[in-house]
Amino acid sequence: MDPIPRFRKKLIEMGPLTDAAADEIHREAAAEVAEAVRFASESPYPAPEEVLTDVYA
Amino acid sequence: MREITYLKAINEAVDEEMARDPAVILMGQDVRKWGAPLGEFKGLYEKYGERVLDTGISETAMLGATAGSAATGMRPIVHIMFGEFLGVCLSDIRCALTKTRYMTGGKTRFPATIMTYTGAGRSAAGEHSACPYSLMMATPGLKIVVPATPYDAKGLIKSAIREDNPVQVFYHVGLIFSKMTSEIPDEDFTLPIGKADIKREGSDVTVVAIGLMVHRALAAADRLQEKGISIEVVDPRTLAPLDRQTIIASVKKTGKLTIMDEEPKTQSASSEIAAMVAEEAFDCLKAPIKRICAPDTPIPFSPALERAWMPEEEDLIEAVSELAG
Repeated sequence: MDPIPRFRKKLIEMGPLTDAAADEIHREAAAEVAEAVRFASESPYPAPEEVLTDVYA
Repeated sequence: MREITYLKAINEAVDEEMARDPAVILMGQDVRKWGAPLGEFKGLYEKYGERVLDTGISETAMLGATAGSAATGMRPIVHIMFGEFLGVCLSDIRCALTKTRYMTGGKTRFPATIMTYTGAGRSAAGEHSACPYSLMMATPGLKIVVPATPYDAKGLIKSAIREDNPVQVFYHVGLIFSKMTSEIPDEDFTLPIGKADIKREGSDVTVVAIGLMVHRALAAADRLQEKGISIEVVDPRTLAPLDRQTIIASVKKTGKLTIMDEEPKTQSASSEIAAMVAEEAFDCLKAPIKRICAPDTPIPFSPALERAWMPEEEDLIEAVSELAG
């Protein structure tokens, strides 16, 4: 099994996590990803000059 | 003669060498089920069984097993998936694999082949797109081949596997995905490691191009010819040991040199080639050497930025036109 579902199962077995809480975390993460994908899809491509930025602080 | 693709060339080279020599083994991540992520080793597990080994995701362990099995009589091929991942096992390459023979006064040998994807152009982002030629060129004891065509891939990979020294094979993902084919002889053949290939003869400017860049240089050559400029495209094919003679002979003929290399310019393979020509053939140069490389940045993910990052046919046409003018 993938480490993420395995870790979820383990935490529920051990006590600190419940099924409902784990589902809530999953929903929040999925919404955050969906929002990021929407933002990326609706944004224009960067200008070619940006290739040289952010190499150094 | 028959026509095969680059992907098929890699598969046939490894298949034929595994059939020829039972000491050849292949290891890598997902090589059994998928034949590696791009499928170049498909069918080999079904054919050779336990001689095809799926490894864990630990390049360090993979290179340790490579060096150990090579030292004790096997002829391992290890698939270190992407160029940047060589960093994970660099210590084992630079110490165990390439220094031990020298340190034991020639009493050991390491017939190992490292096969690695290189190259940008598919939006695979910074960690999966590099051509770290120069990083590996700075490793004495390691031979490096960069085949640009299916014919070169088959001949050079077969030579690499038969070679008694460690050989790094860099193959560009753009070539694996391309539909380009080469004519391949039906009989067994190999190509010599350490020998450059003149991909197109010309008289005005020598263009040394590496890997995928060979094809951009050849495309530029046709367009330059229309403008009356004749370029000679030299494909080093091997970066270590570099075929200095062929490059110098071409520069002697044309008097002008441009190098096209898909690496950030600073300390790239092009730096070494330029330095070598400046040192050994300065008298023949009629103009300063020009280099068409990538900028000194990581490789961007965005398709628009990646296009701006990669050296293009247009860049070469501009540089050569200036040189020839």
